Amino acid sequence: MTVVSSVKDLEALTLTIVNEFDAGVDRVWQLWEDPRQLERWWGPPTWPATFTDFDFTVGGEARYHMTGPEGEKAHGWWRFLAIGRPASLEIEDGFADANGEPDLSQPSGRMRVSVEDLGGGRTRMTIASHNDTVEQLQELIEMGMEEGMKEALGQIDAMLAE
Amino acid sequence: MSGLAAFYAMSFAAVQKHVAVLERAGLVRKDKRGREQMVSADHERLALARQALDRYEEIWRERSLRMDRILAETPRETT
Repeated sequence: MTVVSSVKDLEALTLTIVNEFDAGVDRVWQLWEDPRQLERWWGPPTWPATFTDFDFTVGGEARYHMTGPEGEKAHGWWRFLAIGRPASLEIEDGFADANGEPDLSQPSGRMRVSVEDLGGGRTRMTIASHNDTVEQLQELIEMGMEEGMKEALGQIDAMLAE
Repeated sequence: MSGLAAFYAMSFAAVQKHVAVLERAGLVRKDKRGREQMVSADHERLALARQALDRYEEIWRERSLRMDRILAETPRETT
């Protein structure tokens, strides 16, 4: 199993997820540093992510969008608050409008990533993702939810409605 | 709120701070009753928050699986 633990803090609306990978620290770090790798895991296959800007420096920003099955786009932005290669990373993330411009009327979230060498070519990565409001979390879910899962839930609803 | 603070081994100010965080997250409500501030849990919102966090966890678990797959593509000796 990749995920070794997952803690949900309801009060802080924070999810902390701990992964252990069969790869070295530098290799794991590239998952965040290289936008071409990042976009392969950020969105599900049915809502792939495309990073159009990626300034991986402290204070630098990234712009991305996710493309749904009908061609619909959901836009988001990141700001890199701290970069401690290859051990720690802190990102502010928020929603953007249809032109990709940050929507600052909505609260932003925070992701804190730490990467630890476990020895023997294994690496532990901890991601703590915090959001200020339930609405923000729900919107992120809409953007990141596996379409297959939504379809499956829809089918169950349809079956129950019969 | 002062009644609430009496339950906890922390200062009134600390309790106030916690309540403010919960209020911002929409998990509790504050109502004025006379001179007192009443704090109550919003159970519907709490259930929504729990559900949202559960789904959010699913998203991150799927991301972890995808990360693992990407890492597996790279031969170890070249990392």
